[in-house]
Formats: sequence, C-alpha cells, structure tokens
Amino acid sequence: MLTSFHFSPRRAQIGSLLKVNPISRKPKCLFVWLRRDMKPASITIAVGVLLSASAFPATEARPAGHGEPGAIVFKKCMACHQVGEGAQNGIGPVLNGVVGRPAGTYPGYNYSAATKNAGLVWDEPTLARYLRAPRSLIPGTRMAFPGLTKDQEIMDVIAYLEQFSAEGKQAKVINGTTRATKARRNEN
Amino acid sequence: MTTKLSPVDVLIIGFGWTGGIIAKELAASGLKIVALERGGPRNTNPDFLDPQIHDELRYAARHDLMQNVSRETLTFRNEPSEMALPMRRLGSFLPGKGVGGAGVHWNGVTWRWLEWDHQPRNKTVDKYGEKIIPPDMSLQDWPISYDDLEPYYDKFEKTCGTSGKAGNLAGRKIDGGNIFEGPRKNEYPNPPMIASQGMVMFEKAARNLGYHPFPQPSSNASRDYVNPDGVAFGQCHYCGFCERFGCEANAKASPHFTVIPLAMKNPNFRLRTNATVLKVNLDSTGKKAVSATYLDARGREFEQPADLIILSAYALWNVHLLLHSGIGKPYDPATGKGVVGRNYAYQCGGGATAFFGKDTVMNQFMGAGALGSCIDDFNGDSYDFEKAGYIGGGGISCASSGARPVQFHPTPRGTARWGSSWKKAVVDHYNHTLRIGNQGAVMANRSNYLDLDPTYTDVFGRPLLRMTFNFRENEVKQMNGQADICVNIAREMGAIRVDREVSPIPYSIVPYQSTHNTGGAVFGLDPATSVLNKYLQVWDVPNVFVTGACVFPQNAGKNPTGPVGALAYWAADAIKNRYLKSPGPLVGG
Repeated sequence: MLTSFHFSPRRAQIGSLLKVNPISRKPKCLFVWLRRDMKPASITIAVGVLLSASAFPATEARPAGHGEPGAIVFKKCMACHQVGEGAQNGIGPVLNGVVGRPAGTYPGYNYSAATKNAGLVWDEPTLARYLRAPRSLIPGTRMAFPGLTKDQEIMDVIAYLEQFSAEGKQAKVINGTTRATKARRNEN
Repeated sequence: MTTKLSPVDVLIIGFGWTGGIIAKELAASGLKIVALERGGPRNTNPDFLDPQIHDELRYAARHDLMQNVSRETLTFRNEPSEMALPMRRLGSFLPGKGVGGAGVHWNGVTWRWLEWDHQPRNKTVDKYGEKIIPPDMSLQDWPISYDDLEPYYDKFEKTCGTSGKAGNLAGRKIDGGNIFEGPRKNEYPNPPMIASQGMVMFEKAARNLGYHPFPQPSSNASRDYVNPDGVAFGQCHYCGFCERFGCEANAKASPHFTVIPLAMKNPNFRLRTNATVLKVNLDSTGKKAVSATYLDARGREFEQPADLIILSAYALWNVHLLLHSGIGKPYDPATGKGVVGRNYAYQCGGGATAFFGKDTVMNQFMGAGALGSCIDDFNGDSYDFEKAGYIGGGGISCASSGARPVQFHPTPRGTARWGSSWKKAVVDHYNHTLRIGNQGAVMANRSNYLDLDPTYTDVFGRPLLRMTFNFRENEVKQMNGQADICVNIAREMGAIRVDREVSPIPYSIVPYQSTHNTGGAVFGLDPATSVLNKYLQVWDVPNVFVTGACVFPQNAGKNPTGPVGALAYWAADAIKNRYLKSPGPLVGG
C-alpha cells in the first residue's frame, strides 16, 4: 500500500534517487517522510494505510513470534528500555511484564499525558500496532522511535518481552512461541 | 572564607568527552577521583526528551545548553594593535556548559585527521622546501604520528559507534571511502548512514569532476549498536536536531550516556556539578600543583587538594586556567617567546549555496548532524600547495544536518531581508537549495594568540581571556580557492544559481562559523614551543595534564572531536601505565 504514494512526481523522484544511491541500504526514511511532509488530508490517508497494514485485523493471521530472534530485535530498543532483574527506568520505562500491562503505569516513570491517558492495555494486538508506528497509535507519546517495519520483528520482540515477568524473571521459552500465539492456537 | 577539603588522588576539571574518558579509564585504578563541572547535571531523560528538545528557539537561537556570556566570556580583537572588547553575545563559536559539555550538542562528525595534519611541517618541507612556509606561520609538528594514535582513534570510534566507510584499510585504498585517510586497522563500527538527495547529487558531481567523494564519518548511529563498554545506542531517526541539541534517542554519541555513567559507577568517584574552578594552586616551587579553588552553586569557596590534576574544560577555558594559575610561561607575540596562548587557531569557512529548480526536491528536514558527503581532494596535502598558493586546504562537503524552521531559510543574495518578497523567496527556495561548504584548516600564526585581558574581568574578578585572531594571507587565499571549487561542484550538480561565499574578512566573532577553537596549550617535542609533552603533561608542572583541542599546534580542515577523544584515551593510557607507576615528568625536558 505504501507504494501508492510514489504516484506524485516529487515522490517518484525521491524514491528513484534513493534506489540509485550507492551507499544507501534501503529507503528507510519513508517513515520520516510520511510523518513530516504531508498535508493533513494525506496524513489521514497515510495513517489509515499504516494502521490497516499493521494492525493485524482480527480476521488476518498474525505470524508467530519467537523470543530468541526477539532478543536480537530488542537491541533496537535497548538504548531506551531495560528488561530483566535489576532493570531501571532510562529514557523509556522498564518493560518487565509489559505484555498485558495498562499503558502508562510502570512505577516511577514520568509518562507523557498522551500515554498515561491513552486508556490502552498492552495486549499483543495493541503492542503490535504501537510498535509499527508509535505516534500513529498514541499521538504525543514521548517515544521517538519511528517503528518496526516487519511484522515478524514485531511479533518476535513481543514474544521476547512476554518472557519477562513483572519482577524481571525471564521465563523459559516453550516451543519458542508466545503465550498469546499459543492461546490462539488453542482456541482454534 | 575558603573551606579546605580532604585530599583526593585525581582532580578532573571539566566533565565532557575528555574528562569523562579519563575518569572512566582510571576507574579501575582504585584512586579517589573527583570531577568538578561548572554547569549542571544533564541526562537524556528528562533533559533531552522529544518533543521538548526540538525547541529551536530555546536551544538553537537562545543557546540554552551553552555557556552564559553574561557571567563568563572573553575579549576579542583582530590585531595586537587594537583594544579588545568583551563578547557579550555568543556568535562565532558556542562553548558548552554542563555535564557532557559540548559533546552533548555537537553534530557527531568524527574524523581521524589526515596523516599530514599530524606532521605538517616535516611533510611540507620534504615536499616543497622550507621557503613555502611564510615567515609568520608557526607551523609545528605533533610530537606523535598518526600511526601512534591509530589504536586510540579506533577506540574512540568504537566508543561512539561511528558510522562510515573506510577508504584505506591497512594501506589498501577502497573506492567509496576516503582514499586520502591514513591506514586504518579496522573498518568503522557501523555502516554509513542513508544518503540524502543532496549527498547523492554531490557524489555524482564530484565523481564527474574526478574527485573522490565518501560519506562523512558520523557518530549518529546508522543502526542500533552496543559499544565495547556495553552502552546501547538507538538508531538515528534523521530528525535534523543534532547540533545545539541533545539527542532524544541516544543515537548521537555523547559523553553523558557513554563514558560518564561508567565513570560514575566507580565507588571512589565523585562528581560535583555547578562547581566553577577559579584557579589551580601551585606550591612554593611553582613546579607542583597542590589544589584547585572553586565556587559551588551558592558561591561558597572550596579548596580541593589533589595529587594529580587534569584540565579537561573547553579548549579556551583550559588556556584561561593555565594563564590565571601561572602554569607555563605566557606567550609574547613581540618576542615570539613563551608558550601558553601560543598557536591559537580557528577554522575557515565559506563555500557555495546552490539553488535548484522546483523539480529538484531536497527534503533537507530529514537530516542528521553528521550526515553528509565529503571530498578530501583539497585537504591536508592531497593537492599541490605551490599551484594552489596555500597550505592546509580544507574538507569540502555537502551536509544534510537538517533544515529547521526558525533558522533555515536560504534565499539568493540580493533578496529583500524581510517582507512579502522575502517570504516568497523562502517558499521558493526552502526545499530546493543545498550548501557545498569548505571547512578550512587554519595554520598557526605568530600574531594569533590568547592571553589575559588587561582591562576586563569576569564575574569572579579574574581578568578575562583575550583572543587576538585574524585570518592571515594563507587562510584568505585558501577560503577563496576552496570557494571556487565549491562553486564548480555546485554548477556540476546542475544548480540554476550559485552564490559564492567566504567567511567575513577580517574575522568576525558575530556570525556563527564553527565551535572548533584550537591551540593555546599545544603539545610538542620542545618545551620552548609547547606547553605539554607528548603525553599531554605540562612540561613545567608534571602533575598537571591538559586535554582537548587546545593541544593542537594548528587546526586542520576537519572537525576536532575525533583526535580530541583519541588523545584523551592516549593520555589516560599514559597516566595509567606510566605516570601512576612513577609520578614525575614522562619525557625529559
């Protein structure tokens, strides 16, 4: 869906230049562009696209998450977030026991009003939407991270976070999948 | 009334990159260490969080993270014959204040200086003979070579997670990297950042002209990264708020989240913030420092005795402290004798602003402090000095460090400065303009120096530091020569209109140019022409070491933080492995 934005002549040029650039790995700045350079109408469309592409509608199958690769994905989060025993709030709050926790409630962390008042619970689908584009789900969050682009990475990092209890104890991984994934399987 | 505190082993004055590196490197020594920082404590959370850190008015226009010149400043003049006047507003350069120092609000450009920059005199004389060096140019070699410093450059790059591409791996030249750099043992710890539209155009044009473009080495992490000390970096968001701001993502390497927390884990370490050091006190022989006198936030005076004192404040204020404390002989331009304040240097600027048509979209608001493409074809000794008519050259680059709304509105020369035609020009050009810049070296000159002002004092009653500086003939030629090259590149890029620029001549401290003040306490082989020996130890007072850009005998066409960090590791090694084993002069004078 995102490619539909290439239709404008301006965008087509940027896209093609990014592709020919010898030292560019991939045109990751698309997200920044979407966030910053759009008229309000197109932002709505973009957000709509992002949400529909990322929110895993209930009817759509989600990939199973795996804690082991999730630990590698979590390196992207480590500059701000800690997990495990002895974890402390840093730029972001401690993520022990975050899966299932109401948003904006870790003790001692100074949350933005937006996150505190979001009325969200970090269940798996909500976290998945958030991690895809944090500021689309909670405009005004202090989390400056632009988002993870791959569904698999999102599910893996959630699987990794799920391993940590509220006290920071890391559970053993059973079959490498998340509790939520297993629960869905059981329902089926 | 001065309160005398109980003695410590090591006293660190100024707590930015170099003070932080030394405190961290000495942490395992078991020594009792105290660091004094004139500014306050700072942390990413809560001080640099998004969105409040993206306040351009507060941080960029009003310099919130920088030194307050209503309390401490310097006086300035162009020539020794003039009377110097106090700088009452920050302008040409922006010294930092607070934990992390200017390392918090730098751009993250992390060079290894070229081999020539370490031995400019020898290499120039070898190639062109003595007579090419003007008689008033006090060109002087470093006491150590690029090869001596290579492992320490490597260490600093790894601490910072520098993103880049090697152009010379152990002598093997690599296309796409900087083929003019000295041989490196290792590749950069992270790959280059994503290139902007302007960089792609610059690289293409530079190649067409036969030059050798490469991505600027950047300590804005191109990917998530954990450094050898276990410090995690976030991936840079290309938000374009680097220089003059703290980084909300810990993507821009800064001392406050890398070396400083590690130093502070040491139970034998204490940091005292809002502690302004007034003077380093010597014993009656004048050969040994015994303590430093400082004021705390409430204005109470303390004396902190210490066995070893490290001056790791900003380059200019290290020199001020040396002069005010009577450490080393002050430089006298009339006789050329004396060393403290000698070889102050700065940086040349200028280049070309290239205006393109509306179909060429730059989107420069996506940027990062150190994001850019460069050529070193006219830097160091990569070009012919005789043909060009100047020594030193400069790095030429097309930077994409952001295009923030308050201060970025390029318009062609001749546009009205206000009103509807100015507004229209801003709209027309904001997203279709690039700058090709020269960052030129400044060779030391016998009339450019720092000393104490005879007239003006600071809020504590001390004479202000006096800066005497002008661009000399070599620099004026260089700025003009390099600007012509920038103009050519801009034309090759297809610019519709090109405005050529050079820095104000004579040098002016009013418009911002560069926070790359160097020299004044240079290191060298000969005590007659240097304050410090090769380990950054004061020749005259061996229990004082001095770090920072004040140690460079002249400035290069490159940003200074790379060698500043590398030399801090170099000095820390010397202190750990040589000085502490046998305190005393490490080099025979």
